[in-house]
Amino acid sequence: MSTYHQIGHHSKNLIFEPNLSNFQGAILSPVNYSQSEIVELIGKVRDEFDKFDIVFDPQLYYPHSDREILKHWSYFPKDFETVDLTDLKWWHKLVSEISKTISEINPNTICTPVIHPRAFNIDYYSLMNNISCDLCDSLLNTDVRVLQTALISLSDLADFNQVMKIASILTRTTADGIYLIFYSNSNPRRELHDPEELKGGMLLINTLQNNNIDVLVGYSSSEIILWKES
Amino acid sequence: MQDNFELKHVALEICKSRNLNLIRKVGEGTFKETFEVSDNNSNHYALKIFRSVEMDTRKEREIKSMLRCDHPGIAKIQDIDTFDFNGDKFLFLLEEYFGGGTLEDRITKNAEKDKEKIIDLGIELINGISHIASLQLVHRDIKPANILFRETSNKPIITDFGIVRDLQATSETKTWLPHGPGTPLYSAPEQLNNEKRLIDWRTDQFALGVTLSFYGFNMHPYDHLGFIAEHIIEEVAKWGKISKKFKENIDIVGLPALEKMVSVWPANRYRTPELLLENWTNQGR
Repeated sequence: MSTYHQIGHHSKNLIFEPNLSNFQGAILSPVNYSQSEIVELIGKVRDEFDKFDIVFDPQLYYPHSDREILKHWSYFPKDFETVDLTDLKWWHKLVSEISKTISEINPNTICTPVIHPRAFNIDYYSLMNNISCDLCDSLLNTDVRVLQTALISLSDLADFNQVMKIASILTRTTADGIYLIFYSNSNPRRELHDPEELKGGMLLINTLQNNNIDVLVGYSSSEIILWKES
Repeated sequence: MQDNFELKHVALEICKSRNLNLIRKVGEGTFKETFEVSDNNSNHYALKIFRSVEMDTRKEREIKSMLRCDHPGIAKIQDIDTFDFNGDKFLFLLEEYFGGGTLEDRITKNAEKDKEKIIDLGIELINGISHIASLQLVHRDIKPANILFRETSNKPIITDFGIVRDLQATSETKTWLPHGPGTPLYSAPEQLNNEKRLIDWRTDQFALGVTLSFYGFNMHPYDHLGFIAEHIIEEVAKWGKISKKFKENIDIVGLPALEKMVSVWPANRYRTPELLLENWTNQGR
């Protein structure tokens, strides 16, 4: 498991700091930067580094929240607030729009779009899987690597059977890897402290990696040591 | 029409109309009867006649799935038609007839422990389920009774797509049912617990692992000492543990891939048919 910068507000310059450029890559967010800023940033990274993985996360997790610049991106759907989000045809259209954007900004890697659900269940995880397969098909003839985003409720992972059910769905992925985001009720910047949930997270990462699936964990804090140990 | 109506008379009339000879009845299920028939060139066929002509969703999926399959290890439909008999319409299929019996017939009390034979049979069957998986289908009833042989060959043929699941179509199994369709003794935990979302080609991988375990060791991998079939099914359904005896057997013969195939969790089985084939074949080297 490699280590990446998760680029937030006004922090893109960190990529070019001498000792920080040893990261494997950076995860860019459309919430913080416009399409033209991202294009410019990727161009600059390519000029400066031979090998640096630029990962683009389309960030559609919270459709009803303040999305800042995201809503000005060309792929952002106008009907987000009214649509039936279980409709695969609607997701297919969104995937096509994201694919077009990808060809314009040209990152190395793209994460699949997912939303934050009201309830985390197997149906939701299956839907994420279908969306991922669709994006993989859409980018089949390109060099862009696809990571299937898996937004997982950390509290579910305290149950061994639930971990294995989620792993059984995620291992169906046709993507090049999994971008895991653990959703937790913990306050921001507080350490995750439930040992069963942490063990479940480690088991999930371990099971995915045993299936030869690359795993990148988003928004990690000090628990990164546990994820890397998995 | 009555449910217990004998379809033999219909079979005779179909044979007459198609210049075929009715040889014998070879099987009977809830929805259909099967007869061995032959043409004037001594080619033998299985004539399957359905009790009702109405094309319900399951019957339609069975036929469509078999028509989509094009693999030497999978039974092929030669013809499909309807026949009028005394004012009733009957749907029938003609398939190649396999006179070499089933794998079930070949599993004797002195189980086949020759590693090479187990591996060879496994390779043929893995190729068959790989083809089924490539079409986004899950057979859901892989078991020795559904694996047939030609009279002159030891190459297994997968048949009976009666409960096939098309992953691109809506599931026909209701979520409130305690378990999904399948033969319980060969079913994976996700089938036994009706965890529909967990069903994919790895469900067939599990059933194939159980089938190969019966072929190689005449035992179910979850058959702990003193278990009857009901206990075995319960052990699998509760995502339980493989038996020590099974583990000993695969260690002695050298078939580690079989243990992975019958893991209770799909995530712990082989992820792709290609990986399964590679690991299964490598055990022979």
